[in-house]
Amino acid sequence: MSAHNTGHRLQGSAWGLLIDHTKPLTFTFDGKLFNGFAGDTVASALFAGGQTLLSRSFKYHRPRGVLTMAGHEANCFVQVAEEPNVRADRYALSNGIAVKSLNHLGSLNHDLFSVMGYFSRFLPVGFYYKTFYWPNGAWKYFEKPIRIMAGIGKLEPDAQHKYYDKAYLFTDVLVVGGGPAGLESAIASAQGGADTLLVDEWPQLGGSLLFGRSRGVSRTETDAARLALIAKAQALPNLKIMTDTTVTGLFSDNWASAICCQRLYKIRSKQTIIAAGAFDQPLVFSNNDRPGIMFADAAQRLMRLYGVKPGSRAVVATSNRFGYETALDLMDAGVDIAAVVDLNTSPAGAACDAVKAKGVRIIPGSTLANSKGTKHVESVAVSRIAGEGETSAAREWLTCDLVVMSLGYTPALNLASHAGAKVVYDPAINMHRAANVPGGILLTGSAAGYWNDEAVVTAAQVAGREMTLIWPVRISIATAPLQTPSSTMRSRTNHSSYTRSPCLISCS
Amino acid sequence: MKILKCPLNGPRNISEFVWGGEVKPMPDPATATDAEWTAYLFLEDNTAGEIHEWWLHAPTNYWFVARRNTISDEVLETMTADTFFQRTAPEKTGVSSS
Repeated sequence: MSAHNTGHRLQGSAWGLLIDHTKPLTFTFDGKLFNGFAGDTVASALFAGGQTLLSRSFKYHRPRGVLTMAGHEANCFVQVAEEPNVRADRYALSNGIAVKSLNHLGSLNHDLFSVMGYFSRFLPVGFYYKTFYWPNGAWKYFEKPIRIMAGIGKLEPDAQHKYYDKAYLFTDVLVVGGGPAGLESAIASAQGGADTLLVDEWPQLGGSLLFGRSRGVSRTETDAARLALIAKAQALPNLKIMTDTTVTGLFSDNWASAICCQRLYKIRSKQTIIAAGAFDQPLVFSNNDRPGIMFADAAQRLMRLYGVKPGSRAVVATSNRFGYETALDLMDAGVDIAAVVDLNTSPAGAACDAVKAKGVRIIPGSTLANSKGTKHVESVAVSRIAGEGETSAAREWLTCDLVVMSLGYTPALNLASHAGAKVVYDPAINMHRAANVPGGILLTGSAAGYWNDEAVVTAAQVAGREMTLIWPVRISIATAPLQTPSSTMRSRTNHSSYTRSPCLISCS
Repeated sequence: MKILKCPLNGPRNISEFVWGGEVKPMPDPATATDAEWTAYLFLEDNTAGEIHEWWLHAPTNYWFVARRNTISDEVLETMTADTFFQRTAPEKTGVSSS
């Protein structure tokens, strides 16, 4: 283990929203005992226990740790009992589970395969296992070691069969994502009279409001906004909320699949609002994959959701307000900020000013160029941006045990693409956006390119209201009226009488 | 999964339906050549654009006609066979045509 000092929890109600300090749990990781709390994930409890090295990379067996804390990367794959490829940063901790790391020879901390890195020049990108088919008969000698070295997870032939079932849900409006945009549009839609279903993959609603500082760079205001929105949503009788549920697909005619524990929900809605948020984009530099180098959101999640102090001395690399907001969070948690490295030549904004006021060193017009460390990041090199795609040769090495990055986002367009939308690059927002979105689907929030807090709220409310205007019309134009007495129930004036799906009613 | 609106049963999942091919005039079985009859049974025009098709709601064994855009795979309209034939050939239904 490296000597970095990460192993402790933050005390106070501002930290660890999801964990219950009164319910301690124990579990093992590679046979070693670790402690955690109810509400922890495997990764957060391991991080709190000082185990930031979670896995080895696929080919060169480089050390890897948490990057997103949101289950978006493969760094966090572990094996829990007989279940392979579990995302450690999303897997809820339970008492006594046996977690194992994957893809190494010997132990995770001293992986004998990590020598592969020294042979990297002989194993170019695209190096293919079929190379070992030559000469004739050679494969039978190569196959076994290659099968051990490649692949992640181990299938357990004697594993107990689990029970998986499915259920059907029908709703007027489905809202995917329970962040500020999703909550606002779900509330607007429900207030407009539509039966609304809000689905979120986290255990608690709020999305970025759970850990961010979107409202006036203030954490307390942001958290108050979250609680107010949730209270408003829960007070609406026609707004149904499902948390811990992931919408995994969006198919023709607003048919969505959602997974909650061991159950698959097949959700048919008349309208779908996608408020799935956005994915962080990494900063590209040499050795940017060491444990301890993570997205700003990941550091914020560790602190706010799980009460874990992500490091003791941090370097923040950013080009936007979220990096500065995270710097403020880190300082509140007692983390020293070695420097904020900003890609912009003249950093500005409310969050930036607040960081400056605290006397933190800001290095403008620079980027990270390299990192050092064995099992965990120990220092990073800062380099001045000399021109388009170029940095100056001079490197300043900063000692740190945490590097947080916030360099921009890409909207979560997975579901929109799944439904048939095209993804196009929009130079106006410098991001991708969905084009030719099929009828009955709207995007809002950062998935639609709205980042400003007010714009998010307004756009989401408009989306929600629009849905309530469209949905009764849409079903009536779908096809010619029914030639049965029940067709009267489908008229627009009667839409408030809907309690179930049109499919069920019209079959009567 | 797509929804198809059966004129008898209302909107149902498309997995309940069976495609019956394009609507086309049937040659007289007594006088048609083998080639004509084969073409009628098995060959499709494969039009890119709007076409009328037969569809069967299998659970109720109910045949009807759908107007579908084969480029966008959008079902624009469904109708009973009666409605379809009234529209396309009003003279056959006894309504005076001239």
